[in-house]
Amino acid sequence: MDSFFDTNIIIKYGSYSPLIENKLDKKCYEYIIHKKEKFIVCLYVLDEIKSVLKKRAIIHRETLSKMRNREYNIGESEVSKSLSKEDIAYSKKLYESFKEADAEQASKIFAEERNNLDIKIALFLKTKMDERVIPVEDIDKNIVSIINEFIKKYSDCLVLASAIQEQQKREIFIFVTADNHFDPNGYDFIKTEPRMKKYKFPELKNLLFES
Amino acid sequence: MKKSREEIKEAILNALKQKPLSIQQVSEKAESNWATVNEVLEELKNEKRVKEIISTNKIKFYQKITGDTYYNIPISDDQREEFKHIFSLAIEEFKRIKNRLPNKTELAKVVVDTIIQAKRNLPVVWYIYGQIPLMISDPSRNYSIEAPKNEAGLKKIVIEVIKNQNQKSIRELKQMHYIKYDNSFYKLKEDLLLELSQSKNKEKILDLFNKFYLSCPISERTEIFDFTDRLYSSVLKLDYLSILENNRYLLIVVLESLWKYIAIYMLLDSLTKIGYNKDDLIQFNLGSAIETKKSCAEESISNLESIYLSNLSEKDIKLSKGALKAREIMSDWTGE
Repeated sequence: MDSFFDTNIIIKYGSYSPLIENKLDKKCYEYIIHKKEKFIVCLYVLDEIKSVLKKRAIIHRETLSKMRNREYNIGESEVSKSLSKEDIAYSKKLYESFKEADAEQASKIFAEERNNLDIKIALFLKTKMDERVIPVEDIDKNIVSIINEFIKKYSDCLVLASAIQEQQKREIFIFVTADNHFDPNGYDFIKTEPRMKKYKFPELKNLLFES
Repeated sequence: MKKSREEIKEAILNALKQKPLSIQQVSEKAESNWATVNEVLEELKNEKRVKEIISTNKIKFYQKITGDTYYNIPISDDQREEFKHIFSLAIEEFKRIKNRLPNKTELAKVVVDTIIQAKRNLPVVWYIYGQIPLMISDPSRNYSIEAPKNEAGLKKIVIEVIKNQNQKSIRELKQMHYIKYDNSFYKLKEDLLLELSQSKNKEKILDLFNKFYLSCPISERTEIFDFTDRLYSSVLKLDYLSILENNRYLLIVVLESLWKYIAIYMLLDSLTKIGYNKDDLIQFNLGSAIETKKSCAEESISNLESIYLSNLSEKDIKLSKGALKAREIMSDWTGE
């Protein structure tokens, strides 16, 4: 079966390193390198990948601002307004680990880390992705709004709506994710919703819930 | 008493001295009715003494054309006269001391140094090539006006400044200015351009790009952050693909277009610091220039990114110990 990817799978695939103990990253990486059928990505996911990478750069930048000026409070710049509380917590964690280092050196390290992730993702998109589908403006708002009654995170609704829309045109594929908002029971529940009964659903594969 | 056409014109031009106004606002300030003001503004527009501008909120305004300041940014009549006097002195003394006309940059720097040393209340701002007088520097222009009373003191300063201006090249002159007025970010940009145009030292280029990225005042400007980050990131990727060297000239083009975008914000910040209203400046003077420079920066950076993407191929990439540590800390981060 073909696979339709959620954003987190691609990010985690890019983040994987054999030298870091992270089971989920490894599962995502292995899923992708053992490619059998076609890989499908929707355009909303491509946009989301860009925004995730940008956020990572802002997290690094905030850490560097603090390293250059100890009085600076992480999260107070205009640029950091797009960061969530969790993102800011990661920036603080980075600061605690790197605070003794020279800011210029740390900047090079962070840039190297981001660069590595960017390149792996760009390579995935260039060499492994087979199809880009569903322009963001064509996502069915009706499907999004129904899903949104069950899944609160709007961006997840846009991805799933894109997958469902694409599914109507082809044979059943796998919707691959590693997101706790897409738990198998909740997914089955959406399928049984009367307004969604007319739609063919992709098969869910949530690597977060697989051993 | 009924005002003559010429008197109405003068009243309108006076009303527009401070900032651009709508027809209704001009009519109130010039104390003439709306229809007359509308008609006279059309005449003034044909005479190229005012221009019509559409503000960022799509309202039609009229702006007085001064033609002698950057982006038509208003200065007072007194400031204009004093500027002209300093420009005139600077050209005259430069010709006398160095037996030639100064070029645009030399003249601007002499005027800036003079204004600062003489503690004159004249607008001096940071822009593309460092500090400049807000009145446009033009060595071929005849600035002469009647000399004010304190001319002797000023002349002495101008002479001293010109005699101290011994730099061999314009680049050196700009560099000295950045150092003199303590702006390491401008100096860094100049070093980077020099390194890209002359050197083959890849490590130094990468190091300077890292410093540039780190020093860029981006905390309040999301687009500047985005562009600077994309440029630095592209440089690292070109290096990873071993094509940095082949693209040095393209990097100069991209850096210069990004710099023009950054510099217009430097100009905006300098003007705001000396009392100009930021919103008015964006609305009437700098708004469209900001947009144009932003589009140019976007286009040149996208072009650079496309080169990296078209050359991208599978190649082993290993993380250093430090980068692994940074990755490990972020390992549970999803960013969604």
